[in-house]
Amino acid sequence: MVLFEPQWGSSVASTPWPPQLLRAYVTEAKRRGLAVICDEVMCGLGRHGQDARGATGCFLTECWDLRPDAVTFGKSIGGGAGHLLSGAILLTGASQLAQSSRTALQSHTYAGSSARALCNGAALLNRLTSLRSNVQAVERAVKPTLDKLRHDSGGRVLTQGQGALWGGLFAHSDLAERTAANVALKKKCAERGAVPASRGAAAP
Amino acid sequence: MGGLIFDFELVRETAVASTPSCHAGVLPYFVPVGGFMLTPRYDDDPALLTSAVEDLAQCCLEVVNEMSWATDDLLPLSKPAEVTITSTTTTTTSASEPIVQEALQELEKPCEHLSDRDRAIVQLNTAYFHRCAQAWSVAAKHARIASLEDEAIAALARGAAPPFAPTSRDAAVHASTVSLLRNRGLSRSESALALLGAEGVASLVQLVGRQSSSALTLNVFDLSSDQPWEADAALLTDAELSALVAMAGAADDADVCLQHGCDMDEAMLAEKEAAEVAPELY
Repeated sequence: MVLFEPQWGSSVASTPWPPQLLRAYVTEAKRRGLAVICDEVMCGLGRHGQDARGATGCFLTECWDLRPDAVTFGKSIGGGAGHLLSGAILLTGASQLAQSSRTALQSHTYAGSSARALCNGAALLNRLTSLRSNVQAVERAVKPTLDKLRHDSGGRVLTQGQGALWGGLFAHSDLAERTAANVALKKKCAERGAVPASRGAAAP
Repeated sequence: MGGLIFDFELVRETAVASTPSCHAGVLPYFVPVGGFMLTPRYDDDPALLTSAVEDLAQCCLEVVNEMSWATDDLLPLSKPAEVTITSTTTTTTSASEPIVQEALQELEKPCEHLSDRDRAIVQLNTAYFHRCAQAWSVAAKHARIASLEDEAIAALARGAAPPFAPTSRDAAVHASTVSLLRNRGLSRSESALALLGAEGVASLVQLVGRQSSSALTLNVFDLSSDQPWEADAALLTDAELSALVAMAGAADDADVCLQHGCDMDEAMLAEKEAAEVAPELY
């Protein structure tokens, strides 16, 4: 079995795979008798922002004609539309929470009521067509600034993404240097009054 | 997996409420590999988002300026990599090898008891079903020689039902091909029998099988990343296709069908079912 994200998550900060390459991988996997699962937890349900091309436009696999055996989805229902299933973002007190070794430090994924998830999913599907234009507006709001960052940094920050999923990577070849840059970035973001990870941004 | 779907407005409002000096700002998720992610909600205010991302970009820029990294120390990823696909399948061969040539020759063969137009409809369906570029190109060539309308080719190029009159021979050929590919059989073949005859149906079944064999052979032994059906699909918009399909249904002539001894209700029901399932076929 092969599992892939057509648009990567945190490991490569929202980088979309080239569709042509993905199609070749899927074809190759199926030739070898492997089932293909496409993980669209982050980019699915229209968050990818791509044209529907006559289909529903729910999933990137559909828009890119990838034809996997199964598709996963989730975050859009959990936190992107309708009622939040659960979760919290701590403005203060994250370090105390960490010291108490509570499990709430799972910082990625909303969880909660499956009944609410069903309601959210149904509401989301009903609004998907109109939401697509919103996602494209998000892309127009984000892309120029991140493109400029890539250019102005001389390639030291590699930015990428599409739709409502974007990211940037520090481009130094040494992980220690990238980690140091991350620490400095957190500090600067905190100084600007954002929700700073250094002071704790946790969403159980 | 990873990342965080931010409730941007909620966080902003909370931040403003709890710390009056704290303005709406940057909301990145810092990734362990070194960098950040942004996953705004569907309906975040674009203007607010632009301002926040500009703040984040400025922070990033200041960081890399302070780090003073030399160009030689950077990853060789300053621009998206050119993608070159090399199959690792050991069965890949060149187009000149016998099995490929045999498959290509099979695509060109005429079909007894079926017209060139029938054959083209079967070939287009089969080629698209298997997403075989070479088979599609041959089928499209045959279709145009047989004067199959562009709107029919455009429909088949996107896996949709063409605007054939519901009780026509074209519709029967299309529905039968769809049924063979999707259901591996002809569960409701009365209309096809009436219009094509027993020999015609037999030829159609054999043609679908031979075309599928050739398409699969070409997919395995003669890899191509081309998608020639995309250009043909672009001949017609979805709205135009829908209008044509509706017109074809409205213009159906029951007398013609009855003259050919066709049970119209059965034929229309079969075609309706085929039209409903066809978009899902592919």
